[in-house]
Amino acid sequence: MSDMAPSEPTAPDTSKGLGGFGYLLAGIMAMPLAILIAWWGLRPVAKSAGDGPSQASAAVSAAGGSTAAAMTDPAAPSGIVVAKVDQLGDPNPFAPFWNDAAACDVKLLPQSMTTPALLGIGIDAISIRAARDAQDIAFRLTWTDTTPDQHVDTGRFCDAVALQFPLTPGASPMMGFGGGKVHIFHWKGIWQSDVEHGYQDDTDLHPFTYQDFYWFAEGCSIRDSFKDPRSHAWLIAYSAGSPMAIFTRTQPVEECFAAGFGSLTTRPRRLVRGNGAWTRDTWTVVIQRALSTDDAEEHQFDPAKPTQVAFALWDGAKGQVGGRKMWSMWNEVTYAP
Amino acid sequence: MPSVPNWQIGREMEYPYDAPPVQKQVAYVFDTNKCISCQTCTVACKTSWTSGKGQEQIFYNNVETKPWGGYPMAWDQRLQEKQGVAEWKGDTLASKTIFETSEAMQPPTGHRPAESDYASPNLSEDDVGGGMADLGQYFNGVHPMWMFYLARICNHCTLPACVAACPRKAIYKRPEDGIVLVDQERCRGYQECVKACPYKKVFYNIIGRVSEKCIGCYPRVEQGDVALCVESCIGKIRMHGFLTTQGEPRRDNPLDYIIKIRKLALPLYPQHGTQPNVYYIPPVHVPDPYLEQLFGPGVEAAKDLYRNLIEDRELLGALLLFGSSNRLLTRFEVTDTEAIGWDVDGKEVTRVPFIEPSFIREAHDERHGAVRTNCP
Repeated sequence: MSDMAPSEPTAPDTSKGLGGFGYLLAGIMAMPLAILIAWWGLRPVAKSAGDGPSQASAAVSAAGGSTAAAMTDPAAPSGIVVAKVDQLGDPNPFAPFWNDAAACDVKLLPQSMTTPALLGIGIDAISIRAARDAQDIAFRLTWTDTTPDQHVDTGRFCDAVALQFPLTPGASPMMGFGGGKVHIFHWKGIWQSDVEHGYQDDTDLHPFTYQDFYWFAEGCSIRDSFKDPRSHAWLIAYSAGSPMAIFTRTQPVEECFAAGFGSLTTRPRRLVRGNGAWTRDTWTVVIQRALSTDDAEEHQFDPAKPTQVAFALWDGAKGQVGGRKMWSMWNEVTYAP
Repeated sequence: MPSVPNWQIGREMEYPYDAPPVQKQVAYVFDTNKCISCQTCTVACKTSWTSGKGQEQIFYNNVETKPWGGYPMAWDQRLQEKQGVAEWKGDTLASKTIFETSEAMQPPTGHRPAESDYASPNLSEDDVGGGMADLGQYFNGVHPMWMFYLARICNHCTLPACVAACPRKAIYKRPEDGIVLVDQERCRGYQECVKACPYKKVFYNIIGRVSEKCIGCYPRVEQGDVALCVESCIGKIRMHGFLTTQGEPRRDNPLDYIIKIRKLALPLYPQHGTQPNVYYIPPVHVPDPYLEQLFGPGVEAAKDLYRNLIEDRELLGALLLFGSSNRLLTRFEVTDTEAIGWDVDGKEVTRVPFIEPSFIREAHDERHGAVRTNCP
C-alpha cells in the first residue's frame, strides 16, 4: 500500500451508478432542513484581505462565538489567527502562551452526507487557538465533554478530534469528497492513554481477566510479554501492520490522507505530535507539526499565505466513531505578524 | 440502491452493491440431527485461529443449544425484535430484509452486542424448549420438550451485511470462491460490521482494535482441503464444498444436489436477506413453527425428505460422503452399493458403501472346541 496516496477500495464501489452529484443530492435530501439551513450559513465564502468578517465568521458570531479581537474590532482578522511565540516546545495544552492566542469558536454539525450518518447531535462547538514559532505550528482544541472516553471495546468508543487541511485547490471539507485530496491530523483519547499508560491491555477493561498463557509469550501482558516473534502468529492485526495495533505508540496523533469518503489512509510517517488532557469536563488537546516538511505531498504551512482548516469531533460515550461524527466546514487560518 | 435477485427469499431485494456473481461460492451443509455438541469443531478452530491475545471471546465457530442458547447472547432474538416475525407467501418472503428496513443513510438494520454478551460462550447449554414439564409427564412417542444443537460459523453470505456496512470497504468477498474476509490493515475498528452481521460472526478484537471473522480456512480451501471445523467433526455432520454460481446447479455436485436440487438443507434466517451459505438439515424432532423462523418455509418438506432417506438412495448416498474425506468434494456419484467422491483436482478421494462390510465371528470355536467371549 502506498504511503503517498489513499489506497483504492478493495470491494465494489458503493457509488457505482450514482454520480458525485447524485450522491450529493441524496445526502442533501437526507439532511434535516434545520441542519441544511445552518450549514448554508456556514458555507465557505471566498474572502480577500481587507474584507470585513466573512459570512462564515458572521454566522459563527451569531452562534455565540468568534475571536475576541473580531468582537471588539471589526477590522481585526477573523477566523483562526495563528499567534507568534518564541518557543512552542513540546505540545503542551496548558502552556502560558496559549492565553495570548485568540480563541475562535467553530460550530460543528452532524455528518449527514454519507453512510453511516450521525443520528442525533453530538458536541456542537469547539474552541480553537493556534500558535507558531520559527519551526512549528500548533493548534489547541478545547471542547466540553463530561466523560473522558479513553478505552475501546465491543460497543465502546473513545473521544477523538481531527484537523483537516486541503491538499488540492478547492478540496471539499468533506474528506475531499468529489475529487479533492486532504491531509488529516487525528488525535484519539485511547492513543493518549496508550502513550501515558501503555497500550490498552484486556486487564484495563476487565480487571479480573485471567489467562494461563499465550503461545510463545513470556507472560500475558501485551506491553512486554510478546517479544518472541512466534508469539505474534495470532496477533493478526499487528502482524498485518495495522495502524490501529501499534503497541509502542509514542504520539497520540496520526497523519492520514483522504480523497473522498471511505478512503482515509494512515501515513506511516509520523511528524505530527500531540498531547491532550481532560480536566473539569473539558478536553484540551494540542496538535503540533513542523510548518514545512520535506514531502511536497503533505500540507505545508506558510505564514505568508492563509490556509484553511476543518474539524471533526467524536464523543465516544455516544458511540460516535468513523463517519458518525460532528464536523465543520473550512475555516480560514491567518498568521499574526 | 441496486435491486439484486435472492433465490432464498424468492424475490429481488435492495442491496448496496451490484457485483457480478463469484466464480463459485463456498458452502457447507450441517446436519443438525447428527450434532452432539461435542465442540470439537469449536476447539479445532480456536486452537488454530483464535488462541491469541484479544481473541479470548472470539469464536469463529461455536455450537449453541437452541432454542435458548446463543453466542453472543441472544444474537438472533435481538435482531428479530427489530425485524419482526418473518412472513412468507409460499416461497416468497413477504416481510422486509435488513437492507429494506434500514433508515436513510444508515447501514443494514442490526444491533451491536454489549461486551457482556460475549461473557458466556455456551449459555443455556442443553436447556430445553417446549414449556415446563408437567407433573407425572412421561414419554409417549413424541417429546413435548425439545432442543437441538446449532453449529455456527460465518455464512460467507452471497450478499453480506458486513460488506454492505463497512464504510471503508475493508471487508471483501473473494471473487474466486466467495469467502468473506476482513482486511486487517484497512479496518479501523468502527464495528459497523459487528452491528450489521445478522449472525454476529464478526468480532471486535480489543488488542488488534480491528474487527475479525471466520476466514473460511482459506489457506486450506486454496489447496483443496476442507475447513478445520469440518475435518475435525467426529459426528461427520458437515460437508464442505462449492455451490455452482455460473450456470445451473449440477446434479453431480453434492452441494448443489443437497441444497439447490433436493432442498434438503436450508439457509439460516434467510429472511434477513444476506443469502447465507451454511445450509442446515433441520432437526426432525423440533416443531415447525420454531424451525420456520430459523430456516424458512422449506422445513416440513426437508424433514419429509430426511425421514424417507432410506428410500432415497441418491440423496442418502450424498449424505454418506459427509466426513469421509478431508478434501473438498466437487463431484459425486452413487452406485447400487456405494457413494464415490472426487476432489477439486478430479481425483477420486472417497468411496463409502451403503452397508459396511461385516464379518460374523461365531460364538463357538469349532477348531478349539471353545466358547469365544467378546472380552478384548
